[in-house]
Amino acid sequence: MAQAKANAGSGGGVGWYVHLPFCTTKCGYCDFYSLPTQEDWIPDLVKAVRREMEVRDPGRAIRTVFVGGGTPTVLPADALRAVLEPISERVKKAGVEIEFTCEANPSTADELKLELLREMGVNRVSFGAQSFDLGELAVLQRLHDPSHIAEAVSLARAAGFENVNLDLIFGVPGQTMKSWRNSLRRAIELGPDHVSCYGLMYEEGTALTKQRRMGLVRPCDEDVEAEMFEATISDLGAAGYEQYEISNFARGGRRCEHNLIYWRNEEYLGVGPSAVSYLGGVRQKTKADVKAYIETWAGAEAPGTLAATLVFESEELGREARARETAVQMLRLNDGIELGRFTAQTGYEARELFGAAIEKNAAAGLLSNGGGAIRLTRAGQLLANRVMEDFL
Amino acid sequence: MDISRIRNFSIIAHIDHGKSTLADRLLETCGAVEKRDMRAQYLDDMELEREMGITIKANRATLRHEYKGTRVPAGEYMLNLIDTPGHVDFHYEVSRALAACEGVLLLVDASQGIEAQTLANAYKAVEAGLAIIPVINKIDLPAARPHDIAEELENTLSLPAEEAIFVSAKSGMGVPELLDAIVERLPPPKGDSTKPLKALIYDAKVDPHRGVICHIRVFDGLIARNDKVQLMGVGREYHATDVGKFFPKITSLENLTAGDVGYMFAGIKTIHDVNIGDTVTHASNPCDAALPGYHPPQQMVFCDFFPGPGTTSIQLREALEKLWLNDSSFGFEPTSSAALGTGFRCGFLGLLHMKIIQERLERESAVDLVQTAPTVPYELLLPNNKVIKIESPADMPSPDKFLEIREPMIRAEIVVPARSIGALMQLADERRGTHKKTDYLSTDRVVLTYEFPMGEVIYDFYDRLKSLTSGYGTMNYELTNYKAGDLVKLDILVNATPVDALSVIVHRDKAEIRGRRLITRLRKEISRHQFEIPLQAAVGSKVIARETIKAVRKDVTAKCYGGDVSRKRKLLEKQKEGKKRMKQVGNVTIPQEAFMSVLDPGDE
Ligand SMILES: Nc1nc2c(ncn2[C@@H]2O[C@H](COP(=O)(O)OP(=O)(O)OP(=O)(O)O)[C@@H](O)[C@H]2O)c(=O)[nH]1
Ligand code: SF4
Ligand SMILES: [Mg+2]
Repeated sequence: MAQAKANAGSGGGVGWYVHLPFCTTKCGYCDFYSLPTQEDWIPDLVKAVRREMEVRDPGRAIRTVFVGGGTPTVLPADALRAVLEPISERVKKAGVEIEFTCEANPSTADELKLELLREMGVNRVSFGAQSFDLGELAVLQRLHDPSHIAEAVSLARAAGFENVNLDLIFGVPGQTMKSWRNSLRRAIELGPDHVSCYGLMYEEGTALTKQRRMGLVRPCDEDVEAEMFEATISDLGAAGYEQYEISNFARGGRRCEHNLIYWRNEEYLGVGPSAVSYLGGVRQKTKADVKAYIETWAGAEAPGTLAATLVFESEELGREARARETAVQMLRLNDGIELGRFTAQTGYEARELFGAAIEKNAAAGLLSNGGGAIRLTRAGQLLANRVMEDFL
Repeated sequence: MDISRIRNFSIIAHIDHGKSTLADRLLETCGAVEKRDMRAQYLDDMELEREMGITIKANRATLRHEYKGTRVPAGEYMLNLIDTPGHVDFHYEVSRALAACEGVLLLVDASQGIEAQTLANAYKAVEAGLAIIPVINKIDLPAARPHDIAEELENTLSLPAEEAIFVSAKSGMGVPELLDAIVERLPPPKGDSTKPLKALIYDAKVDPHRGVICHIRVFDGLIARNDKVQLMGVGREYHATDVGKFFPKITSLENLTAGDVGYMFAGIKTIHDVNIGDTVTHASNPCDAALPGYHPPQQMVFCDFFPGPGTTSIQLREALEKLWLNDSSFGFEPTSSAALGTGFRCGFLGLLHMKIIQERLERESAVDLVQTAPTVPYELLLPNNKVIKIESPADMPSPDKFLEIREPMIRAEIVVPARSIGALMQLADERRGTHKKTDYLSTDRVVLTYEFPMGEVIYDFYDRLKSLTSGYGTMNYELTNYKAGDLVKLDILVNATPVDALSVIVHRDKAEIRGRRLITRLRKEISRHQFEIPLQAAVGSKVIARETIKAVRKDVTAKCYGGDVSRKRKLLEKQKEGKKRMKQVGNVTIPQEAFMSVLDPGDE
């Protein structure tokens, strides 16, 4: 077994994630930590985020930045500026062009804010488009209508964004193959650089799950969802979008560098309530509680010590468990588990560690095992969870 | 104690009519329990009884009542009360209790009126020749109709309406009058303390520290601490190490005399060393003849328990043995299934009893169970004229191996509002019921007597009855005999392999519809696999219904977990763990619920 250090990245850069937990209203399927905007908490929230960034800065190069939530763009311009400024300055000072993403909703992206983002060095914007069908948007309890999406994209282009992502959701109650392919077509027509297509999940505690339980919405048929997934790959592929992860597609090499950090199980710092960090082998989640967050970071004198009370959970896996988790993450990528990369990062030989799992799933046609990588086949992608179970 | 100052009685009633609550008030009114120690259903001391709010085991207590009236001599009386369970599965407890008493309080809920177990228990008391005090309870309820109910009692059971005592076990209203009535109206026990000892073991329990405690009723003679006694039925001798009563705290006494109800410890190790119903006498001076005793309660519901994935069959055996030491009314023996491996065939008094045992096994011994659907026992007449019993559909041989198959029959008394008669008759028809008679309790309530094959009613009939009578229907039943029927074994094949644990015995005319429903239900319970799974229901070699579980198309989480990698991993771990906990039959994973599919008769 090669004697590489676990987490080869620990000397290199770190991805930064900033969670801003406010939204205009809550979408029906959403289980991210987001609340209706609390105007009077915003100044303290900004102060807290700035403080946390300062205190928890690992002092290493920033590889990528991703500002999400929540909907960052619901913050008033000055507040948004105050949050982004410190990162912006650091990135500019380093003088290296890195991916800097901000999430936005089609209905909250106005010219001024988009320009502000550009000014702060944001070079990638990600819109929660979700669907181009009015009825589906209503089921999802989204605030925009399909025309807002086109408008948002053209505003972004006008502001100078060369890297635009659209998020879409399939498997929506009432959705048909036809309407899904129509949404794909309309998204493609807008020419985004990146498209993420997620399957709707019924998460505990969401409005949609409640409605499903009461029989008010009927989930999409499993077979239809499988077909939608397949249509996604072929329709986007035909339009020049390469699938590089189960739900992610890019054109012209514009893969999301920040998310690649997650999928390769590399290091990142998460700032804001509910954000997750993975540094030095420790994954740590901050409590999903804005009030406690603000009290800790905006008020106290020595927040460094108090911050421990904000940790919701913290986990440090053993070497082998970490390697297994890394493999499961990498399987999501079309590049799969690249053997060299895997060994360098975990110290294990993938073919030794997962011999039985590879053999079984390759025999079932779910994995390919050649060309220096272990990858899910198309059939394997559809049954990814089952394959991944064998790697755990 | 002067025998004329003793009263022995049981409280009997339909489920939930307030027996245990009335016992509370009697204890409290006589000062047996301090107010601060009082809790609802004080005598229900099993954890499960308290949780479910029902009485499972009969309980007893001795009260002292200062009688100030004039109809019998005034002064202190000793009242021995036994609180009985109302549920039909535990009716043998009532029969046992009655043999220790001279009278009963027949309790009826003032808003519900007479129900099926009211009748069944009242008949038992009449049969045993006991004095009955009708007590109408819950008169505090707004819907209470005590006078109407007293009328009902008079019409149906010939208990004079004016004899009924109105009480509220909740508030205590009427309870002092009831205590006086017990003294005045119930006869004192008969018996002669100078004769040789003759006492009945009417119940027994295990005390974790002191071994078996026998609950006894002394008919003649006297039993004292250190007496050498003999259990006449089993023919074994013991030393009575302690005798006494429950006040309701356990209290040692010098002796118990004729007419008394109390307890005896005699160094008996296990519950299986005593026969409930046995007679206790002195080893050196035995009484002339033993008391008649009881028929042992019959196990009428059977199912198999197999160790689940986290449990070994040795652990399961130990768990069953441990429970069996506390509850002699269930039985188990090793069995094996082609599909599920080695397990245990268990017999129960009824479905509730089964659920209680299952719950206690899981709770007290933390075993993982795979349970097959319950079944009634069947008799087979073999070509050599022998009759054998089978307690699992899996044991039913092919039709050429026997001449006749017989199913257990019950006589059921069903009390329903008159307006529900039509609906009930239709349901009874579907369940192969034979109407025997109809009696009116009042103008709007009737008792229908039916004969049913037991297998048609034990699972869900009661729920159906409740729903078609908006909750007012009640039922009581008892086993009558075994009767030949046109019964066949319905086999279920999963992925072309017969799964013996899913077989059922059904009437030929119903095989097809039951088969179809069963596999429809199974299709929902068994999750999709990576291959297609055919499901078939067959009688002999004839397939009568089929369905297919399609191969899984999609099992992928297409979602953005962002940096929450741990969460995603934990979800996968959970899914993997869940599969490990299911039973693998061939290459198909079958969840526990699937084995219960048989119980779902679907919509009829
Ligand atoms: N309002 C009112 N409720 C009562 C009265 N007596 C009992 N109850 C309630 O009726 C329910 C059943 O009472 P129990 O004493 O457990 O009935 P039980 O007959 O012992 O029931 P089983 O042992 O299960 O057969 C409980 O919720 C009691 O609180 C009464 O006089 N008035
Ligand atoms: S906009 Fe995004 S974060 Fe906000 S509620 Fe909707 S899905 Fe959740
Ligand atoms: Mg009770």
